[in-house]
Order: sequence, then structure tokens, then C-alpha cells
Amino acid sequence: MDSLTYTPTGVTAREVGEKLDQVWNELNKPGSPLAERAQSLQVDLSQVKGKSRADLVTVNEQGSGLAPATTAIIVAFAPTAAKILRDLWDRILLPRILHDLGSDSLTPKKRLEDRKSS
Amino acid sequence: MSAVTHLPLNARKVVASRLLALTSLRRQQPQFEREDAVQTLAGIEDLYLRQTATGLRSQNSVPLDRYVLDTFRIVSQQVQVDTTTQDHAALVDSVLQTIDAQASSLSCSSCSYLAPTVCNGEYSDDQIVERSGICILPITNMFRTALSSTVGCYQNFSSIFGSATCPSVDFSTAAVQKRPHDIPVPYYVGGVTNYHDSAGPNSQVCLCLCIDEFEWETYLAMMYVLFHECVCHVFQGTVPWRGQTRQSTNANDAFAEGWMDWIAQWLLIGEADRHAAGIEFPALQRDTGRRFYLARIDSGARRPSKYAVARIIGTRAAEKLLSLLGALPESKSDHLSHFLRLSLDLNLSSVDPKGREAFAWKVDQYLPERLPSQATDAQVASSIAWDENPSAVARFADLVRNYLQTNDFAAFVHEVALLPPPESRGYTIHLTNDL
Repeated sequence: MDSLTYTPTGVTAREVGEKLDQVWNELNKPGSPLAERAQSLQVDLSQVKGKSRADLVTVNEQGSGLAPATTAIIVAFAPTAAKILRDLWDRILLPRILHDLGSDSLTPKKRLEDRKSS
Repeated sequence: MSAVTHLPLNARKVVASRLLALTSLRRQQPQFEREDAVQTLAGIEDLYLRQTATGLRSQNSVPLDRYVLDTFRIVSQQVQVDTTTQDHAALVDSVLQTIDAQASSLSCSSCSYLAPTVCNGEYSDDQIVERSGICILPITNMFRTALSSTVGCYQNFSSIFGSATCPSVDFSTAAVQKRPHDIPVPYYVGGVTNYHDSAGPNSQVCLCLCIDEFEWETYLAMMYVLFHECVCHVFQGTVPWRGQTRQSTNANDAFAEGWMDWIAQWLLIGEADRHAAGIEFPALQRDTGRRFYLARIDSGARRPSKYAVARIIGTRAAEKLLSLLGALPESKSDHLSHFLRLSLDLNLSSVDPKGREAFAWKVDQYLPERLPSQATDAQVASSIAWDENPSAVARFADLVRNYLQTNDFAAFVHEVALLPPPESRGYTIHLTNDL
């Protein structure tokens, strides 16, 4: 599965998942302003319509413990439509999650290969 | 131009109810003081803060106005059974009634252009708030006050503002989980100005609030944050308009974050002291703003901001130039106007932000901390009284005099940039905060 890793601030994977469900439902509502917005941005919603969010995008916590720095939130996309879902995540889902849960709630974690090249 | 976004519904439930309760309670504070009932007031405020914290967990299906009414009803019941309020029952009843009346006047269906649909946590909420947004109106009004004071300041003092292609200005709000700055003050508010210049200059000011911690002190600090954004950033780099997206300045930019911030706090103090419309608690908002300003440049704090030193350089440079203008015979009668004209013109100009910053650093290097208070005009004119580095100061003063005659700030800044590093005679860059 294609996945992204985030450091959470003040949010849990469960809260992110619940928010994701809410936004997913909003995208599935015919004529909703969010769906219109996605269409105006030419975001492909074919993988959203009538499909279960949990089958396509999963949100899990990695690690556990007292120190928040040791935990991470992993967002993974179904391999069958990873490219489309990743675009949807970057342009619609993530901005909305940051808007609703706080602009600092999810910070992308640098992957090892990114760190090596920087 | 980018879509304007606002606090999500849950955050606005907390913020709107606290804005109503806190400001109503504080308006009544003098009566509570007269009755020696400040503790009672603090207790009631605490009840409101505790109960309104539930806003973050409130269902999106509950409209904001309904939430506020229900929440305040619960607080009223809690206050009624609280025995500590009984000695001041009439005063307490009066303040509760005032708060309830204000809550009753909040109507989501009157506010929403999509009525009967009202804010429900969905994407269209931002458009409803942007068009009307009565739930955050006190904050929007603070922004309008800061913007209008800033425009007045630029109109009064800048020599090029009249010819400027004024940017359109948007105001947005955002929630954050943690205090949005590293400044050692318990104010959970920050600001950022983004430029969206693709279709002409557009500045979008965003006020960032940590909702959990939104209390009275943070409310008071918001005005200073908004003055900072408007004075320092909104109009920056628009003259002449080159049709290119403006560069945002860095957090450690001595001119934008230090020099111009000196002007922002000066303007806020002046507006508060003259009880300008829109500043409802002038003395408190002024003093809180001043504390915020000083904390930004407090390098001696136990945990100073990592950008404090750059801000100190800019602030100190501004004060040094103001001091020089106050000493030169050509400008001493109206030195503040000369200082503001140069600062605002330079901020408006579309020069590279690095050029502005380099100017601030050079001013700080060349000018002494303080001018001698007993210097005669002749001594000042010839700079002989400035014992730290008289030749460097004299050289700099000549450039200032030339600027005062020509009003050519671009040439002045260029000439200052060309100055060699001053020879040190015990005068070095001080990185400690002694303002």
C-alpha cells in the first residue's frame, strides 16, 4: 500500500479517521459544495462515489506510548487506485482535515530517503 | 486570490460563546469591584470557560446559536446554586441576564445566506462566515479597526501611499492545536499574512487561535497581532506594483519583524490612548499588546523566542534612527513624522526584502545606542558629542540630511547599503536586549 506518515499534534488516529469519514460523506452528497469544489479542481472522484472510505484509505497509529513524539499516524491508500486517492488526499482531504482539526495537527514525517538527500 | 477559510464550526462554538461571556463579564467588572466581588466574577468566568469547552465536542447537527443558548442556560443554573454568588445576587442576576440577552440575539438563520441551511461543519460554512459571520464579528471588527488605523497611518505619513496599487485585503481565521509562536507569553494567538497576487495584489491576513486556550488574555492580545499583520505585512512591497507575487519575509527579518513592529505597537498605543472606535478595552488591549511586543524582543527570558535577536536588531535600529532624527536640527521639530515617512515608504517599496533588512542592520551598526541628552545643536550637527564612533555617525548623519532634503528614500537606502562596516571604537553590535 502507498502510505504517508505524519506526526500528530493534539489529535489521534481515531479523530483523523472520524473527520475523514465526515468529509468522505460530504463528497458523496450529490451537489454538495465540497464535491463541486473538487470537480472545479478537476479532482477525480470516481473512487469516492458509493464506496467505503475504510476500503480505500486507512488511518492507523504507529507505535504507542506516553511520549507523542514516538507515535505517528499512517495514512495508507488502496493500491488499486493509489494515484487517484493520493491526489484526492493532497488536494481535498488533507486540507480539510487541517482546517477542521488545526493547521498544525498533522506534520509530514520525512522519510529516510528524503533525509539522506537533503 | 485564494479561498478565504475560517475556524471550523466546533471551534466557533467555543470562540463565539467565550467572546460573548467574557466581554460581557469584563464590562461589568467595575461594578463587581465596587461591591468587592471580584472573586465572584472570577468564579462565574471560570464556570463559563469550563462549560464552553464542550463546544469542541458538540455535534455538527447542533447549530451554533442553539449551542450557545443551551450552554449559557447550564451556566446560569450552576451560578444560581453556587452559594458564593448569593451575597451579590442582584449584580450576578443582572450580568447573567445581559449575557443571555446577547446570546438570544445570535441567530444563525439570520446570518446564513443559505438559510434555512446554517453552518453544519461542511465546506459551505466558510462562505457563510465570510459573507456575514456574526459568531466571530467581534474579531472581524478588531481586524477592521487595525486595518483602518493602518491605512490612516500610511495616508498621513507615507509620501508614496497615494500612488500605491492598494492590495485587496482578506481576513481569515484558523484553528491550531498549539500556541502558534515561540514567544514567552501566555497568549494563544498568532497571525500570518499570505500574498495571493496572481490577479493583482491581494493580502490575506489569517488570525490563528488555539481554541482550547482561548481566554481573556488571548482575547486582549488579538488586537496587537492584527496591528502587526496590517502595519508590517499587508501593504509591503506594493510600490511600484510589478505584477509579480510578492516574497513573504522571514520570521527573522529585522526590518519587517523588528523595525516595523515598533511602528505597529506605537500605532496601537496611540489608537488605544485616544480611545479609537473598535478598541473596546483600550487600556487592557494596549498593555497586553505592549507585553507581547516586549516579549518578542526579550532575549533574556528563560526561553526566549529563537527570532528575538533579529527583532532586537530591527527595533533598536528604528529607535536609533528616530533618536538621530530627533537630534538633527533639520528634523528635530517633527522627527517622528520623518521617521514614519521613511519607514512606511521603505516598507511599501518593492525592493528586495533583503535590501530592507540590510538597511536595518547597517543603521544598527552605525548609530550609537543613545544620543547625549545635553548636546547642543552645533554639537549634534557636527557629531562631535557622539563619543562612540563620531566619524561613522557623522557620515551617516550626512546621508540622513541629504535624504531629508531630497526625500529620495531609495537613494538613501542604497547609499547606506554601500557604507563600509564602521570602524569599531568600542562600539559593536549588542545582541542583548536593552531597549
